Amino acid sequence: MASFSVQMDGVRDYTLTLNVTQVSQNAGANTSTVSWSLVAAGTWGSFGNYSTPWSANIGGQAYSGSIPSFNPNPSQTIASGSTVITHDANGFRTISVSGHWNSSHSNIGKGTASGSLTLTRIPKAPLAPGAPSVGTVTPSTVALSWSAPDNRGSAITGYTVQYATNSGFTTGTGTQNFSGTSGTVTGLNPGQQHWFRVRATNGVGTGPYGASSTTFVGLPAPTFDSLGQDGDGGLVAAWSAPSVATGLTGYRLQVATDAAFATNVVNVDLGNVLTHTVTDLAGGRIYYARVAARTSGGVNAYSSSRSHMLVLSAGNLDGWTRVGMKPEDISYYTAEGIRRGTVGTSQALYLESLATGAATLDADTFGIQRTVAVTNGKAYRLKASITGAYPSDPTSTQGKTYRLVADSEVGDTAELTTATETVDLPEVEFVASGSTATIQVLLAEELEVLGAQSEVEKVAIHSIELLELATDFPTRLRGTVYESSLSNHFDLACNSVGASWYVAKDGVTRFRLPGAALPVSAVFSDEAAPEAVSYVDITAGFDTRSTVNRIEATNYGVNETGDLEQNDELVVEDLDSQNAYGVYRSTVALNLYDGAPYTDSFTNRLDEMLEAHKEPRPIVSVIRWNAQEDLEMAAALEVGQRIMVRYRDADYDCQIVSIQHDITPTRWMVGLNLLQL
Amino acid sequence: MIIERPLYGHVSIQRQRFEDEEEVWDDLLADATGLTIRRGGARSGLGVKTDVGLATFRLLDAEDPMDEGTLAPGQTVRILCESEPIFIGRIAHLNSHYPMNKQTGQSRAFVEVTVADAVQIHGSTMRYGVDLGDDTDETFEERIERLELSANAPVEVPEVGAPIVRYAL
Repeated sequence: MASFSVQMDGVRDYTLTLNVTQVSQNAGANTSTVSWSLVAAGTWGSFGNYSTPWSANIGGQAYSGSIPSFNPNPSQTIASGSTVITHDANGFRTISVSGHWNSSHSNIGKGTASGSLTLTRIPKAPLAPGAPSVGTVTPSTVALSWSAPDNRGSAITGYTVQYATNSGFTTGTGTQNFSGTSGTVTGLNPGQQHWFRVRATNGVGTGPYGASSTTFVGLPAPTFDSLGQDGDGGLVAAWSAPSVATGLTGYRLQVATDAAFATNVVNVDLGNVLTHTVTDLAGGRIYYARVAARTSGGVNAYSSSRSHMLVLSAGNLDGWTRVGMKPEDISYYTAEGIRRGTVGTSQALYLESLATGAATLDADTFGIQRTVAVTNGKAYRLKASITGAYPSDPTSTQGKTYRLVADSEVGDTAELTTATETVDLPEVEFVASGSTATIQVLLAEELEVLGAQSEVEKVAIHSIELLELATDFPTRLRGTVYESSLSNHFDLACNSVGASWYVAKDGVTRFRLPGAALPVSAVFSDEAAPEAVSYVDITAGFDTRSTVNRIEATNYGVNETGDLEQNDELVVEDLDSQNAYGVYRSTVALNLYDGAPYTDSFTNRLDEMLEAHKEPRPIVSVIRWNAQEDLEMAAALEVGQRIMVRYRDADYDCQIVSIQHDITPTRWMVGLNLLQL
Repeated sequence: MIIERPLYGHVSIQRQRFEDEEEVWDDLLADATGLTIRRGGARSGLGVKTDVGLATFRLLDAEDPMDEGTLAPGQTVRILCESEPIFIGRIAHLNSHYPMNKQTGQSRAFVEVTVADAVQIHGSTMRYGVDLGDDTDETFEERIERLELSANAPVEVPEVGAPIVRYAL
């Protein structure tokens, strides 16, 4: 009980006392009941019936009234009562109390007694502890510690730790109880991130959960021993089992192209193996890898990572090489810049590169090439197809335009418009100018790469074929409106390519290769020789009819629309020959196509003619032979045949221009008009 | 050493005719006194100009066109040696003359037969240019094949084989 007294201000010695007593508490209602009384006391006099007022305030609750008479000798209770007081949320409450009485008598006077009273606390459930601190973690346990929270008036009797596999504590939940402020949670499922939170219990009840902490609960990381590659371009990883392998069901090998494992991530879930080869990765780039044990709960801790620059095996490139200056920021998938592969059933060469920074690839210089054996003067056709290997339609910064180049003849451009379409590269024809030719597949348009990108080139060149055109005459003829006889058309065609034509013995018109390309059919000699027959007459000497040092040529043709005559005139001459022998001119009519790749065919043909005729030479122009030396041979002789005439120990390589048979009943003479080869 | 012997039996001149649509070759050599054949061309500056091949032979008192002779221009005639042809063509000219032998007072018919080969046919066949259509060029073989379509005499088009694959990946 608490009493609060005050000396009343009358003449006599009177006191006013307010007595307050906590009589009970209701924990459920969070209230206390207090009783109170206001008492006056003194030792003098007797007083009449005066009605006098009083008032009291108990914890904010006001009371008042009056008494009809008073005689506080020795004491008199002026007023009394009880009041229900509500405590605060934590069970605390201090109340202010006061009591006042005015006797209206000079001897007693008036007075106010007041004070404060702290009520007994009503205990509550404890507050939430803070987030627990994570200590030792094992594949199935986590040691936690936490601070004791406010017990709110009642001693804490224990703690409950709740765990879960999500932060919302809705999955993988469980609880474990501890008496103190630390404990080890056991029986956790390894391989998962876990969240933990704690709540306390006292005599009143259990408080709320506090903030959570999280940690990964699982097997320790395996030891990542090595990362390399095999001969097939596979990325080979090897590791050792973790020190604790309880519940291990396998491993996850994670591969990426950045150290943060955020780009081009590949997850490979494996059984209980300690090595694995990842295939079908693009070459020419650095791969990062790490490994983790897998348990039924999921993937456990990853090992530290390793990296390796994967360079694919180029395979058998069949002589193909890269051509063009590779910018520094361009990286090939293979060391050679090409990789052998297939497209469908066709053998292919893959051009694969990536950029590590901005770079520019020049047109018509960047690609692949190979040297092939050819026959000088033969005509060839180069064919190839291209197939995209891009993951999506190629952009302007990716190689998508290519063309063929063969022996400096440049083909038209082919363009890939979709990611994986196949396009035939426009064919290129050329006439071999030596024993080898260089065939190329080149980027047709300049490629400006703005920065790092995974695919700069990713195309397959396949169905590559170099065809030798099975014509003995590699040059081509063009259209003409040349109106003349068929025989003149034969002459025009033959003169253009160096061939000859004749009506054979059986009446059929035939054509021959240039004489130098023919085999020698017979040998005529001025001396007896086993392999030769003997002529009886010969005409030889410097025959200037065959000398030409100025050629005035007309190459018959048509205009672009093909309906009007358009002939090319050209004069070639050899001044040295003219100075030495005088001018020997000749005209010639040709019909040569001089578009690509035969742009030089007209001039080449004239140069060839001039070279062969500019110098007078000793020639054999006619021989006569008695056919009765060999009748079968006489019957076999034919216009255009190549023969060898031996005269004064010199051999003359000739072609038969015409044959004349003079036959009488007993004599058969054969005259051969010859062209010197 | 060359021993000259009669060529009868080794060389023959034959004229083609048809009996009941069957081809028959009549030998004319027994009546021939001389035979000249010239086939081929002539050098013409840088090239060769193919001339009409001619076979000329003379018949004595035979096949006189003015006396019921059966030879006529356009008939096919061939010259054989050991059964192998050395010339074939069509009769282009057929002339006869009758010189008198002053010693005997007799007059005999000398018939001169000129046979021309297919060059003559080609020379008289007009060709009005070469239209390649959408193509810009063609091979020599393609050109001859094209010209052959205009020919009125047999033409053997040079063969073009399939392209030979010289390199394939």
